[in-house]
Amino acid sequence: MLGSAPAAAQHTFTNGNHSLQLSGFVSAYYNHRFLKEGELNRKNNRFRLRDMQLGLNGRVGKQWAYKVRVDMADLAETAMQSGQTLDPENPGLMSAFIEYTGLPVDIKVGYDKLPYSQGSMLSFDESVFWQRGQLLRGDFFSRRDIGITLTHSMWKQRINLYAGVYTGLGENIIGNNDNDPSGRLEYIGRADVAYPARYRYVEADILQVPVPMVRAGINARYTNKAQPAGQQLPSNIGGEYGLRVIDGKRFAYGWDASFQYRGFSAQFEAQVLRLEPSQAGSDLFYNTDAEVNKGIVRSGGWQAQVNYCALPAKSVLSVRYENYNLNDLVAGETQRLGIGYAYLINGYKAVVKLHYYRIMKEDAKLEPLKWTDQVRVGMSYAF
Amino acid sequence: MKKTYFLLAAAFLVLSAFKATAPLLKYEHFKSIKVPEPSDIAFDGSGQVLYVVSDNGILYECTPEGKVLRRAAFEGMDFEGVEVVGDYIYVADESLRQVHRFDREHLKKDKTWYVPYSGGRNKGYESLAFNRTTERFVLITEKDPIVIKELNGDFIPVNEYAFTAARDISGARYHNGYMYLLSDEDRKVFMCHPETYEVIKSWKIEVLNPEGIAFDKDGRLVIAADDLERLYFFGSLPQ
Repeated sequence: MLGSAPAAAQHTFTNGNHSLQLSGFVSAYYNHRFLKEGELNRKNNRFRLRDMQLGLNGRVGKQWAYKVRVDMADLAETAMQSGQTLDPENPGLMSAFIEYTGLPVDIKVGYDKLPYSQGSMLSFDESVFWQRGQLLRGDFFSRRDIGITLTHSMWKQRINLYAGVYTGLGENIIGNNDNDPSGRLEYIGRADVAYPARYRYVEADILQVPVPMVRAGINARYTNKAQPAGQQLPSNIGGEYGLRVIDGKRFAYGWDASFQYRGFSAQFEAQVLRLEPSQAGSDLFYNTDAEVNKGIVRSGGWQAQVNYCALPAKSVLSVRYENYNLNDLVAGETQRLGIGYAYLINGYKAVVKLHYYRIMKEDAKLEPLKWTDQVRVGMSYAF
Repeated sequence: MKKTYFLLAAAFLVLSAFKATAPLLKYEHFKSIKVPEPSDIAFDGSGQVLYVVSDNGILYECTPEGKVLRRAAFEGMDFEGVEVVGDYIYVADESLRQVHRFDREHLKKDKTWYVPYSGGRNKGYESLAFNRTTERFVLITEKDPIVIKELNGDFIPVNEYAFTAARDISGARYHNGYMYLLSDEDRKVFMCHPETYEVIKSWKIEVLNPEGIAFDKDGRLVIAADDLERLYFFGSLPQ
């Protein structure tokens, strides 16, 4: 029985109209990398405090809600590494918003996860893996930003519609404060539909639902960050691959699907980026002729994941396959395999997780790696 | 490497095979109801009226088949438990840790009690029932941990029990000398001793997201499903 061990829950204070919940999440792991021959730097063989989150989550009456969630571990790390590229999966400030739910459309203002990509919207606390797929963890597109999100649900919450406008700088807006010199914003929309009932954003079917459930979603986002003459984007804002924010037009779209039934579950997601750098000499063109690149760079990929939850064994086993291409103007692609095992000591509140990574195919030109395999094992605890 | 994968998968499947089973209860039919996210149900003494509460903090009066007759004007935040005792309907508001009393004639709220509980906001009082053996009200927290609180008529706690036989409890009802508890996540009905809450029997039900439990005038089990907004009608439970 997953819930058989006594457990401390979040703590709530209420005054009859206003309830405030205090919660947190701590996780730590040991990481071991299997390096290629000749590689000697083993700095990634280490223990790491991944999360030390504290959250305040409030509701005032039926119509107002707010949330603030901060990861102390990431803030400490960011302070130590100022000037480095920010890890979009661990940005420090996780959420800070207020929400009005008294209209047919819920209105959220502030900083939070963006309504884009099923794999990004899934809660890490309830993932079997220690890391999201490379395509969805924030290097191809930002996962959080400041702005306004409108949400509307219908058909017993089976259909959910999202629309929002944001700074377009993603997680970097927190350190940057100002927008980039273009002053333009990013627009995001998403729609998903589930059947036969509403489908929460979870990976594993730990409820072992008695009827087959499916959900399909589509989403798109657009921004034009072409820089005015003589201006340039803030440094380190493009992320690991220089794709998150570009000097030019950026259109991304994707679709996703999810299925669960009696402990089995699966997720699929594809993402496409269509980039139009404003400068003919942009690094993204990799010195190709304009006749070849036609002013456009495409990037993207897909990932598929299957999971099985064995309740009597308190276990979830997941296998994930990823395939992505960083730039269609450069030959090559990356294929990764992930195998995850989670032992649920007390549901997802207390979990021991093992994550094995294997690089099946490497994009030697755009993403040369020093390692072939990696194992990450650790524990997380939600309170 | 392939051999390692194979051994791991085999070990996982072997572990999965050890499954505790409870007899399966099959429903006879179901009806959709026009109550958004029904979270608990309770019949009046005659079995002619069914009271339904919803996640959006509204109390509905319905026919035994779930047709809405009228609704209370008062709106709370997140109603999760309902019980009928005499001329009153008692409703638990999970987030605010409150119990409201409504008079049955006008569906008007006339009293509110605050019953402190500091656990997770959405893991508060998920079930409300009246235990006719002990003559006490029973409030049960949803999970992390599951706490059964017995309270007197002024909703002052007089006793407390831990319940560890399920991942969560989403509903509770007294029937024929026993307390019946419902688990949403485990999709089980537990028949419990009315004084100790020890499990005597349990049954599995194949209902998605079961949140409310009641027994009609003929002693047949009725389950409310939140996400699908349905009532599922079963036969009488085997004793």
